[in-house]
Amino acid sequence: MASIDLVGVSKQFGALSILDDVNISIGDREFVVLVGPSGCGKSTLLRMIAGLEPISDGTISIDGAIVNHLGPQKRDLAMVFQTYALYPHMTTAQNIGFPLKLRGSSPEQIERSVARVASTLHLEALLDRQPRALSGGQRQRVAMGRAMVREPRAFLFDEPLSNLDAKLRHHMRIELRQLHKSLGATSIYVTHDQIEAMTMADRIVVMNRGKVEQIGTPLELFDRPANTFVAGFLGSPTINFAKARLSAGSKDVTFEDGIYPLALNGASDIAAQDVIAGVRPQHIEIVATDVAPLKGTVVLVEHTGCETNVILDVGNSEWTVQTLSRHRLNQGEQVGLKFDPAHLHLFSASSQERILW
Amino acid sequence: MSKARKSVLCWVALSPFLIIVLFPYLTMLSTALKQKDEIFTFHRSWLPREFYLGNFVELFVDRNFGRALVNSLTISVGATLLSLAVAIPAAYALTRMRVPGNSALTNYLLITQMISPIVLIIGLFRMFAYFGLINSLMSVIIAHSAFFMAFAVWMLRSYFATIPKDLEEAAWIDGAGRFSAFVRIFLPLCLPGVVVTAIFTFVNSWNEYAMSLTLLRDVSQQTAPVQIAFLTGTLYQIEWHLIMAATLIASVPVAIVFASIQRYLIGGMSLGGVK
Repeated sequence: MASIDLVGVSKQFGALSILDDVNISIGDREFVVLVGPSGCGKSTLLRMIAGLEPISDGTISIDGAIVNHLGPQKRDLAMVFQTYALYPHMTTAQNIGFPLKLRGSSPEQIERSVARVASTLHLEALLDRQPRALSGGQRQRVAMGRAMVREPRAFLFDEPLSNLDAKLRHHMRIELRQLHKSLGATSIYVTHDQIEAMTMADRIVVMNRGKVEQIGTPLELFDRPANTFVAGFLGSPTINFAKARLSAGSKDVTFEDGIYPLALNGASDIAAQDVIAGVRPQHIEIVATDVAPLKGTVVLVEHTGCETNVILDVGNSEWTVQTLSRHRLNQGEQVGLKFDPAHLHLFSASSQERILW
Repeated sequence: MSKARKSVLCWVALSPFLIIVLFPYLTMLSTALKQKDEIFTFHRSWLPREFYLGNFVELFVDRNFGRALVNSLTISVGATLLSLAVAIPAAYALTRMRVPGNSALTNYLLITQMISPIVLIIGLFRMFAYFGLINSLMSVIIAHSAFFMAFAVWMLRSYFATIPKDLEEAAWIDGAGRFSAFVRIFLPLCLPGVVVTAIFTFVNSWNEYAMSLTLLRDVSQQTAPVQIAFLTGTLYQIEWHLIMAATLIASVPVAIVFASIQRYLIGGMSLGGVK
């Protein structure tokens, strides 16, 4: 197993910049998820680590050795593709054994290794089938097996679960995570699904438009997002934003239409400024209007069974409040909203960066 | 409309065309099995008096038609192998690598197909004469592969484009070099496309007349189509019984080849057509 370091990695296609100055350090045995909206460059970055895409600038090193100029054959990494990329003319056993065959292992050795991997992944009964005779989940497992069989230095996953249905995806997520625990393999996992990122990662790298927005553990990112993008990307339903004004010395914050002056116990060296305030739907309580200075008008109530999402007009913005209690609310009804100031995220209106108060 | 009625209607609509297509073949078969004096009788009959194979014997024993068949086979197989050996890497490069002037090159290939070989025949003759290759089967092999290669590249290119790139990339990551991934993963997957292209090249080469006629001057070098043509005009009479027997034999390899790979052919052609 290995550590992987990206230093100042960039990628340009002509004048078009795909990745700009990416710096990520991935520790041995770590499970790192690259997450971001489609087109943010996460898959390109993974392909660059794999050696499938040349690097315009910067260095990629594995275990301290720079691999920029090594072909994908020589990096000793394994990759699971979104399409699984199983060889259609080979059986499951041949697919899994292919990397060993290329290495010149003996047929007995290959058979032993394939049997071992197949038993880990519950593929014993499928060894003689060709990929076209396998279901989506089985193909996914064969692709995993082909990656596992040669015990590579690290695993690369390119949205491996995106072709599965929701139930199977949930199941495979758990299975992958357990597999990572038992193998202890360094893994880089690309996805656009924030749930996958939050549930699987040791650390998450949030990317947007070819740049790294924030790196941290799932809870760090959720609790202290570095900017409005990260705050808006993680969490479901999405975080509520509203324009507000922060007073000098960060004593209080006043929402744009003046309805919610909030006493804060902030740092005194922060100047008065326009901010974007963010509160997660889970952190807001619906209370009687007379005890809460912040009020909203009910637009829609969504019952998901477990939680209830209440969509409200608050000033000029639309907010969502998620509660466990089943409120009986009517459209147009006015309700009071309350939240702990500790759960308030403030971002500079100009730079969109987090203000530490 | 019931399925049976539909298919009867289809057959009725197609039958005039079917007759046009099959008539020459039936004439050929019928004439080839008749004796010389039976062909121009006043009362024409489709069925021969007796099942007469003497025409074939005469063709092979007296006219040395076997020799022509061997020549044709040598040239067709040679041209097919040579053009595939060049067209496969060319098509691979055009679909998988960054080739400068890619689209100009492919358009150029198409343009070469618009020129009839007969226009170039004098130039070709002089060129092969300069290299001392006149009367050598090699000259026709080279000329044929050059002419049919453009088609082969086009055909293969459209087939190769349907093979997902992921598969090769997976092989590279699994430790295969570029060539090894090409041979172990890519080629087996595009075998249907390669087979169809090979058949087309083979048949084109088998039937080609003008170049074979020009470049092979010696009777012992003649190909089957050339020798058949010579049967019509070398003597005081046209020997239809021999001509028909010879064309029958010459069309057999082509028919066998087409029939045996029909499944591939339909798949390959539709792939080439849609993409």
